[in-house]
Amino acid sequence: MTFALHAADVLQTYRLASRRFRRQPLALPLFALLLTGSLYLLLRTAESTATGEVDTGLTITPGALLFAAFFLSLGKSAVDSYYRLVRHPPLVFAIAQPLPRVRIVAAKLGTVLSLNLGFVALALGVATVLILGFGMRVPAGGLFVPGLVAASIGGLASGVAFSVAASLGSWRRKAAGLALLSGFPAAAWIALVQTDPGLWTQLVVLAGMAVAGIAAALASSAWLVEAWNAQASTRPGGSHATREFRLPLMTDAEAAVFDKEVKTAWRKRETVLSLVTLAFVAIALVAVFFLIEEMPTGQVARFLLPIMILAGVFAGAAVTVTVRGLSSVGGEHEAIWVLKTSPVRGRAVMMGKAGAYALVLPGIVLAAVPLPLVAGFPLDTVVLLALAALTVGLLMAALGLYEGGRAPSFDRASGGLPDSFTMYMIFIAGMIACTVFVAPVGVLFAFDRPAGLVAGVAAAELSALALYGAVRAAGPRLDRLEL
Amino acid sequence: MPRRGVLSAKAVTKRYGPILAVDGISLEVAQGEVFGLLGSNGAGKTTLMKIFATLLRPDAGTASVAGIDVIQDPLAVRACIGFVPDSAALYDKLTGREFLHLVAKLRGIPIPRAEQGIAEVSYLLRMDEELARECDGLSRGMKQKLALASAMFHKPPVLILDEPTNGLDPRFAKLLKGWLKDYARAGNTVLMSTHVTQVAEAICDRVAIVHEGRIAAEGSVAEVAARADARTLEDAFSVIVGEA
Repeated sequence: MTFALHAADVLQTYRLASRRFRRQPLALPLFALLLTGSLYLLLRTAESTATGEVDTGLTITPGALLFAAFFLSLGKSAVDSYYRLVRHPPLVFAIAQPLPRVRIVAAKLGTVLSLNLGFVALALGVATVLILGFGMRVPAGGLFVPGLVAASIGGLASGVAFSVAASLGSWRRKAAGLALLSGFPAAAWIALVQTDPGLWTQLVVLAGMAVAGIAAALASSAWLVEAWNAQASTRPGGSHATREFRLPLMTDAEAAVFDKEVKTAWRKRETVLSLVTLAFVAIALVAVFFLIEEMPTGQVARFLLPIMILAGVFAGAAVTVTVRGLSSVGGEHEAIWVLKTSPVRGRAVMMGKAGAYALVLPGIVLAAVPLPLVAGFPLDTVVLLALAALTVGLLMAALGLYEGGRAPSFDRASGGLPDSFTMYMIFIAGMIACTVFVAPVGVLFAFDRPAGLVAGVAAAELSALALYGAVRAAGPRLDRLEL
Repeated sequence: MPRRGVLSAKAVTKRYGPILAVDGISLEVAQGEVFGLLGSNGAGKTTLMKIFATLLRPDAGTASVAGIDVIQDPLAVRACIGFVPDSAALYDKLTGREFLHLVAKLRGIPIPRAEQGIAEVSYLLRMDEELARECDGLSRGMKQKLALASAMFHKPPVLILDEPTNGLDPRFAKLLKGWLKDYARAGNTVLMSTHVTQVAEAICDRVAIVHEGRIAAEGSVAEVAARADARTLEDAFSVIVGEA
């Protein structure tokens, strides 16, 4: 039964992905190109830094990279598990069967592990080919790869338990569950970053965490039904006073969609979650600044903090505006009939949604400001970074909305988000677009500050135009969508 | 008597990959009629209704609503229909009233005018409580009432209802049937599908039995029953689908 559940999951994922690739024949080669290109850049950067070809003045330990892998795996698994397990209405058919709940969790854990480890294996395979093909001198010793696999398993398995704990019926129970599990990231931080006892010890710790993570995931099955009931089943809904939200210059139809999106995001706590995420980015950036004991003095060191800030802002924008844009149409699920049978053009629908997602932009800009202020940057640099953050936010919103409108996924198991391949492509494409828009401005600013600021404003305006273009392009796709 | 054709399909065909869902159906539904589509699961009823509601484009043939081609001007078609799908999915986090206001705003109806229609429909379907609560917490029947209200409150000249009595208790199903008959008598047109032949017998002026993407029989309930030499529509359905 466990295998049957797991096989059904994998089969469904395979069919959805293959259908997408059949409909978009260029998607697979494009994915291969982006994966290879991004891995090449990553390995080349590692090689340049390790061999002293480029003096960044930074020391990035294997432990820090393993911690990043653990943390990313945990986050990805928590999201996957939320939609595949905790908030998955069809799970009722499994829960109603005469089988222990631990088997259901084992099946879903198997799905999360196999799909994500498959991606890790693919990336490692491509990286191996690149290293051998280009003769790269990458400082990844023999123990690093098993460490990466163990970190991924530990993160993915504990992510399932995190997802169940965070979905329990009351705030107290959520807090208690999360507190119990907080040992995982804490142990990873201590073993991989704080004490840095060497790769062999770190591998042993990560192997132990992988086993403990699987045990925690299986143990979380005891609370599965509570979490599922709290997230997926019908409960008496709240009642609200009727009030309308709209932005100036919006048509009635755009305002109607905007109002619906704002209310839905607020009541699903997506707005709060977005703001918390962006606050976390701002705080983490400041914390990292204070953790750097001595500022590096290498040839690219002057760009270190701006790059760090924009990387943080990129991550914040990706998980707030891009993800919402990607599920802008697919996240409607079966309720899409309401918009599709109304006498409203797709462009008006997408414009209303874009307006609602754009409300997060001030938060993205503000997330970029604390670190430059703390670091004592001149005011014009702070302004430039804020403009760059705005540019990144607008571009990431544009990409999400364009792809979400162009090829919506109505899969409930992913919450209306596209498959992992597409998500990866969008994030890499976003990184490239942000670099193309922001990097020249930064270089110009380094030579001529007023001209750099003017270029920063122009880049922000161009990215706003890109968002408008994305809405214009996605609208007709929605019009042509057949249900 | 019906006055003029409002819903028209001419040799409409629709495929889903290798599956032929609708196979050259031609159909006319006149103004003032309640027209029922009956058929087995997967017969093509929902596909045909979705084509009239502009949710699907026909692969061949033409379809029009109130003389407007569904491909040429889908927005104009949508402006004159009220539609309820077979599974009434709503926006979970909006209250019932907010949901109806959303539909009104999308249709360009001022809220004060929409409120009039909402009050009438909410009285008919006894749904004051549902209007104040988030759709998330409503039962299936309550959601169905709300979906029906969203199609009815703005009084469109054409109603396209896929299994409208799904999830409704017998009292509200009876109320709805009476309302639909009166609505058609007032000069509007209703196209509905149902699996319950008694519902079709009670309110439909004409019915069509759809089988494997084609119309196997069409006419008044009496005519369809007579064609199958049966006493009831249920018996006629079994005979016609069995022999088709």
